[in-house]
Amino acid sequence: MKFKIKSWNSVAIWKWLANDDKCGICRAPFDGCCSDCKIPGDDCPLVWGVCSHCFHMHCIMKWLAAQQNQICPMCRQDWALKSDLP
Amino acid sequence: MFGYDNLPRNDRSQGKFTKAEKEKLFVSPIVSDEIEMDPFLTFLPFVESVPGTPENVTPRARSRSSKLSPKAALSICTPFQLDPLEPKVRTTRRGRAPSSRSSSFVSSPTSESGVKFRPAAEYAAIETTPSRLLTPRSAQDDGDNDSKHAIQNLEENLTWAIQTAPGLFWSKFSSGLKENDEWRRFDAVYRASTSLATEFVLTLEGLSSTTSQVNFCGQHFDAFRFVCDNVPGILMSTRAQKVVDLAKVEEIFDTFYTCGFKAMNIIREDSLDEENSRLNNRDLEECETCSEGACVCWKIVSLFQQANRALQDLGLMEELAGPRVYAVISKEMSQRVDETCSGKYETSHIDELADWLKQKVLPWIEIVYPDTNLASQVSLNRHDEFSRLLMEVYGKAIIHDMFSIIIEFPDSQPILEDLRMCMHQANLRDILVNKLKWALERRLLNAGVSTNSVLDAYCNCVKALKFVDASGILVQLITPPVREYLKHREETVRVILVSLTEESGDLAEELSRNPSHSERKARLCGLTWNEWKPDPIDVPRDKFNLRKSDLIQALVSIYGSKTLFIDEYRALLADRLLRMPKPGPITREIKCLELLKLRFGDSNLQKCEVMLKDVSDSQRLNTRFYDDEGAILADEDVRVTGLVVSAQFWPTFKQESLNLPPVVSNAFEKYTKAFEAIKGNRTLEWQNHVGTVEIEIENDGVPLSFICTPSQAVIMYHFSQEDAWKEEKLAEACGMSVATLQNRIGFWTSKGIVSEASPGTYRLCSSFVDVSGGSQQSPSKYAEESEADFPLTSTSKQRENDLQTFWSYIEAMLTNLESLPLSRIHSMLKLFATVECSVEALQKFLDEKVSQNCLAYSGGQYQLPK
Repeated sequence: MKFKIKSWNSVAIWKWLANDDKCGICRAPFDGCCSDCKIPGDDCPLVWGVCSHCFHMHCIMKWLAAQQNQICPMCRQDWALKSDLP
Repeated sequence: MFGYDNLPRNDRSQGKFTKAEKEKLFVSPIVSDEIEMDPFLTFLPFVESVPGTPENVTPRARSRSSKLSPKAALSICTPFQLDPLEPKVRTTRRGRAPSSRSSSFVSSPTSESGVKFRPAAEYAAIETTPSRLLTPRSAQDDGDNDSKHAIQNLEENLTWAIQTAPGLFWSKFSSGLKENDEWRRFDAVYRASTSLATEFVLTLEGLSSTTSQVNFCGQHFDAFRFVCDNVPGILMSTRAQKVVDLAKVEEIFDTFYTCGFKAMNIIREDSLDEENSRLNNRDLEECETCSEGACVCWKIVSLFQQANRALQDLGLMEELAGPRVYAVISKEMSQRVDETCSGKYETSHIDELADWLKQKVLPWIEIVYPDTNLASQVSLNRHDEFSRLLMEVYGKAIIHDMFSIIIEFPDSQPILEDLRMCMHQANLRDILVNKLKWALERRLLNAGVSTNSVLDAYCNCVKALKFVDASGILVQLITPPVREYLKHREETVRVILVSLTEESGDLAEELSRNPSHSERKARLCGLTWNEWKPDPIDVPRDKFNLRKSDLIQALVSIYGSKTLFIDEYRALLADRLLRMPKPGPITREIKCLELLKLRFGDSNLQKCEVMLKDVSDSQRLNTRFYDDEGAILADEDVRVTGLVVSAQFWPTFKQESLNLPPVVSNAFEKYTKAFEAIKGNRTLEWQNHVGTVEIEIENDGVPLSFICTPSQAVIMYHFSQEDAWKEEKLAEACGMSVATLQNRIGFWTSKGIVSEASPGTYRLCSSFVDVSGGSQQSPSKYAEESEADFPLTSTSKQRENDLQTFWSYIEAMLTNLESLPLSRIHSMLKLFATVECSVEALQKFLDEKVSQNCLAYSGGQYQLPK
């Protein structure tokens, strides 16, 4: 018997490649969006710090804007964006 | 007392008609000749009989056939030409000297204004037998011989008036009671009333001429007036003595008026005919109403008129006959209404009926109440009264069929307009509310009716009632039971949403109407000061704001919250999107979502919006991977198209494992790589068991195409490798449980591709016998798959999962407070955790916990097990 797949339509869930599944600032899942956004993914991306903690971009921006010292809210190290992404 | 004394006095001489009236009622010259004679003199059939023995007429009647033709009946009561002196002869026999006044009195009864009997205002005050009260004292009062004679005369006359005359009346009546023939009964009423009237005229004349005024205890006693005023009272009180059943009397009056009405109708029809043809033919023609021989309706009507005049003069009209007139006429009306409009809902009947009232009923009324003429206020009132009665009867008839009318709503608009007019005139609201509620409950709210039908009927009902009563009070009063019922049907929300999102249909149309616009319009209507009406006092407060809400608002408010709807819509939408063969155009869904957003607000439908965006994004991705120039995956053998979803925004997928064929999993990996290359830092997690697969299998050179689920495709893939499989082995190869496999393989066995060779062993059929008849499996067939095959968890399941998150709350609650009843737990959950769940759902959840031994339930209280 010959068997041929003409098309295979399936469903996939996208995930961030992060070491956690919740944003440490807004406590919303990474694959959701921050409290200000409505659409996840491209519109509400994640950023990684050199300390390897990651947050919603909008969340960490807000946090940094409110702080005098640019430190990571999780580990209190200086905050800097990680340049080489995993 | 009965409105009778308010009637204006009739100035025109009795029995004389104006020319106009004559033409109107009695066009026939023959009859009108008779009418011109004095009625009392013309129609005195009893005159030869001795008062008290009226039976001397009946033997003649009895000797005839039992079913008496109207003609025969009429011959019995044929007017005797009576010498005006006849009555005087009788009075002489009874020992009263005829006075010069009496003869003039008899020949023209109305020449003395007092002759018309008029109930006095103080009628109710006299209850004791008048003769006993009167005679002895007045004798003591005056010793004079003349006076004694006068009193004796008075007594004699009074006794006669009080005892003999009523006896005469009732005995004539009871002779009618024995008859079954309607024309004989008609005759009985005619005789009783006209003869009594004549008797009274004679007696009263005696009273008034000799001893009309007696000085009684220093007070003026007018015996004449006394008798005049009390005719109905005397008659009614003797009824009991004569043992005449009131129901029988009513029955006989019913017959009397019905006959009169029938005869009248014939005449009215005639008068519309050509004058000549009637004159020549009518008397010879067969008449349906009179049923035998030539038509005598004209005579019947004239007799009818005499009898009514007599009843009126005796003051019996209101007392005895009045209620019967209404009973008869409303019976005729409902018969007429039934004839005109039963089952015909598409046309308005109100004009037709009003016409009928004017043509047929009002002339009859004029005869029944002879002392009114059309111009007078009273008869105008009466006209109003009867048209109101007609409206009421008509309205009730409509209400009786209301359920069917509602079901046919847009077509039955004319009759609902009629109903609106009827309700304007008569107070029908309570009847409508009760009847319709009952009909809905009986015909709609039972298990045999599908939710779809209930919902359609509900929509129609709301629309129809709004049409009848724009203020929405009817909707508020009638629909709550239906709403309550819908609330308890499980699939209601789904059905509502399906019909909301359909391409056509009532609800879909309603949805596409701009709500803000209609709201503004409604507000404007409500605010116009001169259109505003206060609520009826007996209507309860509008709890759900049903009156002003439109259809969709009314439906959504069934559940009291929007959340339930939105969740269900999300599930429905997810279902639709997943069932699409591949991520495709979703314009309709987008339009529908936009419309729903107008209703429910943007933020509530955020998740749905993300879902739609996922679909269109995936569509773009797929094009980029496969179809664009220089596409990465363009050369792949197996085309894997993905629907990339944001898990947080979709309903949860069921977890199910499935081992994919290497070809497919390779394709998946490549797709993932391509995705990762485009979207940095993101990867894909495939839901292997979700989606649709199009496969083609070929055996003996016959290619067959199927659209199936991935698991079904995987099973088929394994059969392409090997012809026979043991159940367990196949399950292992596919990565699913044996039970799931048995379930999934059913698809192929039903198609005749795979058969169960021996228990636990499946084998590929040597040649494919296509059971379904066509090689192409239609997508709709695929849609019939069972609930178990559906990859998403149902909303109710999901809600249960939500509740699971609150389990720790409940546990903490019970640790602190030991034991709590269900309602307390529910209210506390509502207070502390914003949980959207009904008491029933919570109870179900807790009971499940009890069965798992996580909770104990005793005495209506939940507690943690010790």
